[in-house]
Amino acid sequence: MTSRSKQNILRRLRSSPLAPINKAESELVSTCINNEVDPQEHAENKQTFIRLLNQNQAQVIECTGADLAQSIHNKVIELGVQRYALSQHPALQQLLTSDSGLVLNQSPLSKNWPALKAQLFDEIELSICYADAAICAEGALLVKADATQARNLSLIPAINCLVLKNTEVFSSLAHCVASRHFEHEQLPSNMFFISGPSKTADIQQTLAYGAHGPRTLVVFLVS
Amino acid sequence: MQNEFRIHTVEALDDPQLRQNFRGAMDFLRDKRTHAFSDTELESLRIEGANIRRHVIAHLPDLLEELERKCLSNGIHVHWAEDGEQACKIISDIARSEHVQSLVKGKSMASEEIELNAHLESFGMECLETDMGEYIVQLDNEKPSHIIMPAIHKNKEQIAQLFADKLKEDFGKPAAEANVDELIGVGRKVLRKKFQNADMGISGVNFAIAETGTLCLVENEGNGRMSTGVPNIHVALMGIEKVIPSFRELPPLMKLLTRSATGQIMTTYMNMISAPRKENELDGPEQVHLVLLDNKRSSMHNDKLLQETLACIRCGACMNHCPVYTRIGGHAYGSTYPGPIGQVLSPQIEGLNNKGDLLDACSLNGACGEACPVNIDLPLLIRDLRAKQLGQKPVQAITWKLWRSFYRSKRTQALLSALLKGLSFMPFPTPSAWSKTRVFPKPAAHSFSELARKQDAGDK
Repeated sequence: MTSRSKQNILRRLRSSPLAPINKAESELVSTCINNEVDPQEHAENKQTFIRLLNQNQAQVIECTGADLAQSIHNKVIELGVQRYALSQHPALQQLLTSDSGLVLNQSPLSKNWPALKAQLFDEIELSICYADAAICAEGALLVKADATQARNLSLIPAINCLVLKNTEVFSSLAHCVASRHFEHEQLPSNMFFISGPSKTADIQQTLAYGAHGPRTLVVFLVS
Repeated sequence: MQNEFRIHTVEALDDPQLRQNFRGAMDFLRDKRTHAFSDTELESLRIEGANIRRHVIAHLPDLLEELERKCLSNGIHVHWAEDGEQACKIISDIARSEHVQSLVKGKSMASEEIELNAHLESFGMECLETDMGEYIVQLDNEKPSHIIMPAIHKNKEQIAQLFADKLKEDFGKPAAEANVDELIGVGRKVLRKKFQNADMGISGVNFAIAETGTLCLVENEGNGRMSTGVPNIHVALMGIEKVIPSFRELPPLMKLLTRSATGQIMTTYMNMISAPRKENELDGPEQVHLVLLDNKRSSMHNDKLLQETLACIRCGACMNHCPVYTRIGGHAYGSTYPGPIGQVLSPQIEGLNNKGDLLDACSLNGACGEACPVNIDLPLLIRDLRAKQLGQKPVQAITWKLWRSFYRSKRTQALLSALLKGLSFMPFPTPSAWSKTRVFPKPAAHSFSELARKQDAGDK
């Protein structure tokens, strides 16, 4: 059925008497994006990024690689969290072991999805994930799912922490999609931008946080 | 069928609570959008967005084939459906072959369009809406009244009562006193259990990237990510016009969509799915299916003017700015897509004979065309459909033909005016559709032509 349907749909579309469109409409002009940013622009971008995240009720904590583990530890204590999980993303693991001298007391995650699912829904209160990049003009972080980082780890627990290297920020989405992160061969099965905790305004246009995903988002911006 | 729209309109206008709920919601959304754009930015983005959408329309078959090729090479199953019936069958066949019992659904207007829930329920499967607004309207056996905010017609007291009645939720106080956070907490509690146990997730698609075979979904709640990432099977249902060439076209369209829809610079989540779970990955669906839905879209594509309908990015801005929609609400339209875009889409999908009456819900004020972020000339499309509709309304067609022939010359026009003026003094009953809510107009003592002639004579 689907093969015949495909032929029928394409035949109808191809027989369409298209309205004449001008050159600008028919050939999209791809803007040349330069991802090299001068230090002053970088600082301004960072300020915008933090402001937008704060507007979306996300907390941003700036720290160095050396004190990241301590900063996370302090946040976990402050939030009164008992069970938390850490992504095995190599970049995050590297940041946390670099001379921090602090052993995080996280819950080990199962490698079996049904068991991991039960852990994420029923046990883990806080997750710590690695964000590969950020887009400043939109105030959002790019998170990728792979063999070391489950796609649902940043979604199901009530509190989500994202760790981002200060050097991985792009001015905007347009700049980010022109980067290596969006090269076809590099695309993971799933990646997503996150700009705040889960929210909804579906009831009488009143914003409420923690609709289905995390109620709290904490971003650790590592210099 | 033809009278349903008029009956619903009268009912909606007679419901002060509904009108108050809509008024507040529309003011809120319009205000948010106004603040999201600067005037100059909106204009340049509109041109860019319109160019992209028109490029897609011009290259639609090639883009769809490229999308299919890339999806298949990524491991995504691709299905083509000519109409709603075929799409429903494709999805229920997948579900039945995998022994699916429970499904969770992210927001998808295309699935509303093909009435997928009812179809799956006929096979004994539970298909639960998980967008908070959609969940509320499903719980009350209603349809969405707005494409972005489905429960916009209800206030929190009505929703609290609904939760108390249908979910037997005990708030520990009168339901009407429950606040929004408590209500959202109830929805979260119920739906998280459903996500955990669902066998299949269904979603829509906001943009599909042909170059990479990536499905992009935008949302705020996280239900879209859960529907597509937790169950073992993910089925994405997409109107064929949602394809775009590459990621390069995404940023301007995203800006236009999120700012026009809810006034947001960025939604909380932008989900990009390029493949099912890979062998060494920890989670995600083992199967991803993409259903490409035509359902009269190729017919729209075949009309030089109406093909512009396919440029729509479903932001809802046209309805937020429509003076008719803001007064009668979404349910009065009795169709999946309400408001100006619904007036254009519904008669083309369901036929002019079924949904042609929706074309009356327009004063041709032009607000929708001005609000559209991709420059769709909605008033022009509505006028074109009205002209096509005349072929099905012989009385109207003859009336307009007579009107035109009389008004072609001054002499015959004056003759008609004099005749109507004379008739207006006769004791005929006045048409009730007009006189029920208005005073029937009386002709002026002197016609415009007479006054002009008098003035002319005076000047000389």
